[in-house]
Amino acid sequence: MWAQWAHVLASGLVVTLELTGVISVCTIVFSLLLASAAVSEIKPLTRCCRLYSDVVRSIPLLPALIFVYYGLGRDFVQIGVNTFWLACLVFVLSESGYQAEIYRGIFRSMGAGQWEAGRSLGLRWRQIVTRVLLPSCLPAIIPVSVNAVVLILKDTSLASMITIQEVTLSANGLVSTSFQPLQVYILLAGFYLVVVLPIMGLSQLLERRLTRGARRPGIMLGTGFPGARRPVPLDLTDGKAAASAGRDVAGSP
Amino acid sequence: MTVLTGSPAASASAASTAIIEVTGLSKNFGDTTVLSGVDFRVGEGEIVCIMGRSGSGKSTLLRCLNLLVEPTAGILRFRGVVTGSWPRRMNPIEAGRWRKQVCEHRRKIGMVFQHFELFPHLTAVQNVALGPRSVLGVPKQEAHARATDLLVRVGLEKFLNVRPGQLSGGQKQRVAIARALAMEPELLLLDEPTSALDPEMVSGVLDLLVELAAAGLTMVAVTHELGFAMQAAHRVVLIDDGQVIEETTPRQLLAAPVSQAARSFIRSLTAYHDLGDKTGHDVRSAGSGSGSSAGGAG
Amino acid sequence: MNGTIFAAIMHGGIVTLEVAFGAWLIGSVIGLLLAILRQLGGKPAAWVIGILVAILRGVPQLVILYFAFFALPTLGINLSPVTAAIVALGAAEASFTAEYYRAAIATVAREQQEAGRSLGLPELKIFGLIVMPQALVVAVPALLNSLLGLLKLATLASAVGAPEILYNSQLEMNRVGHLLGIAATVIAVYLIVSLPGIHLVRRLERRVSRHLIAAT
Repeated sequence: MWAQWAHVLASGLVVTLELTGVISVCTIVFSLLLASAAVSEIKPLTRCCRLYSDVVRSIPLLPALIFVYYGLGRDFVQIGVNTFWLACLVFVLSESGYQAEIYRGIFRSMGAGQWEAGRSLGLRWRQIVTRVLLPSCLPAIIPVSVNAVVLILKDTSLASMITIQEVTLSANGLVSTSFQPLQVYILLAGFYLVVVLPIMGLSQLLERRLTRGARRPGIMLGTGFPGARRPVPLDLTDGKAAASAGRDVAGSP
Repeated sequence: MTVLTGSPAASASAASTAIIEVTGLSKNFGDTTVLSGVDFRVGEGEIVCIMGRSGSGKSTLLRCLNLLVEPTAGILRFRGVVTGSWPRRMNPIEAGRWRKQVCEHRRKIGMVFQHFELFPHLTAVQNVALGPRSVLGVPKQEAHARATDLLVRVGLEKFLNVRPGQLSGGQKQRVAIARALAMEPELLLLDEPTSALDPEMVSGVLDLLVELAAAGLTMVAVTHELGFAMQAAHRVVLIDDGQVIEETTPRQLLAAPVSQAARSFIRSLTAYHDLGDKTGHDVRSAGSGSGSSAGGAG
Repeated sequence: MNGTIFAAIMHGGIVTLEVAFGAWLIGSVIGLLLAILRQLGGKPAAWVIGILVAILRGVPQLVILYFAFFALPTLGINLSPVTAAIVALGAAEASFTAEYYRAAIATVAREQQEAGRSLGLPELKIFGLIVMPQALVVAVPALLNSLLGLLKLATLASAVGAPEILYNSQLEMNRVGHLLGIAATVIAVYLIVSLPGIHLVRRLERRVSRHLIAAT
């Protein structure tokens, strides 16, 4: 019986992982772009990006999914495009709002002066981003991005509400046929944990490895722990504080 | 023994009334040896300055005295009674008892930190009153009265209800000293009390410390302020690489340092300072000072 | 737009608020308890709490909600949709706030503990009188963030039939058919509530970080 169930859930899990994969990649790329734009020195661009982030973070994901599905779902099906891609689109747009905010925090606290330095060397926007910003912020970006994958994986459960046959919907089906919700949902939780826990562990490992030595309280609080959804981005270096953070060390000789 | 009641300063070598004494003190942090085989004692009413390069272990030695750091080896005595000896193994029950003993031990010893470490969410009075209230069980009214009294004595009567964030470094350190004194300690430890201060505030704090010394408070200070050592200290202990390399009166150390390490240390400290004693003579040029051009106008 | 549709949406909004606040209270309080236990309880406590937190963080909130509403009855615990949502979302949130508290405690410099020890204060008093007051101030923006997040997460309650804003909107959409106005209203409501919230949190974070840098 358990084996049967596991079989059903496994095929749902495949869809979950597909969703997660597509959404994660697109979200990370899009968010990095947004964040880079948000820290560029072009005022209208930064304002746009911040507005996008704020608006998107104000709108809950589930209503967005449902409204879009009810509104456009039928049209999409008529064209012949699977609602899978529609869902992915909504997910990416929504998750990017959060992720861009996190990346922006990282860029600002770690890459503060680098934009100016890059400009003064005559580098163009794309060069600054790829050669200066991203490489220097990589130790902070990687754990945060791994985090994002975890969050996205969990959020894919919402896709069950718009009839996408991922693992949670499969579980609901099992419940309605077996009338054993306790066992089914525990198994479902187990499925999620089996995928999520190793990734969370990986994230912690990466974070420890990559931020060895440098103890930046701002980054720690904002992006540190795995599964942290809403960043507590203590903008400890709101631009200026990078220099004056910490104590006035007159220092011993 | 209340500190600010003006008892006369004790004589330097109070051999039989050592307030605190460590013998054979060693401390390792993992693979690094920070202190090895240090013997150190302070007599009643003595002022001792510990000096050395950074990383020499002087701060660790200080922290072993009030057990903020537990030694790896050695014996710690307080007024002749053994407080603890290391290495030691303890079962959980003993460990619980030991923690209480450590708290007791620390109540008798006050400490002032380089970076003040005032509690930012409390006002000056609350900072000073916290110890007596929460540790000694003094009722709130009385604790606040005592705290106010102390703060007035250190010259901060205008800042009683101000939070540390609004105080200058010198003022913060004076609150910190008041906080330590509020516990009526038998010994005051100071960890580079003026190193984090802007130069113009240093003398204010040092004046206060000199006053306390004159009133008979036993002090052990890790410091670089040679002027303070000259004026107030009975003894200077020089530490390098976790060991005591020289121990004399401040005058002797400056005028005729014995070991090579001491000589180079003194030179590094005094390279840009004029050092005159009260008669206007530069102490260095009277001794074996090698040709440093900064021999000074007193 | 028809008055009654709007009324239905607003009534749903009130239920959403109920769920959000209820879950927030549970999350903040239980998270605090978990953080304190973890700090003071030594290794075994930290271990148990670590496992509990990992489970609550690793399983999607929707699944926890389904569990609370569909699975618990088989154990004899019958919860109404709203109650189930509050309990489930609160429990899930507690696992997050426990981490926020932990991070906040970590920002209180170790030297503050040294200063407390040098006065002879026992560890418990150091934690309660010196560390926690400072940590709680730091945690405030995070807790507000948590509330903002829950206002959105509360819409999950529609999945178990709680008459909150999303559920009511869906009913109306099925009944009446025109989607756009209803969707626009719901989105507008959320924007009106959340945008100022986001700005407030940002301002608080800045104040807290300034406070952290200036302190001592």
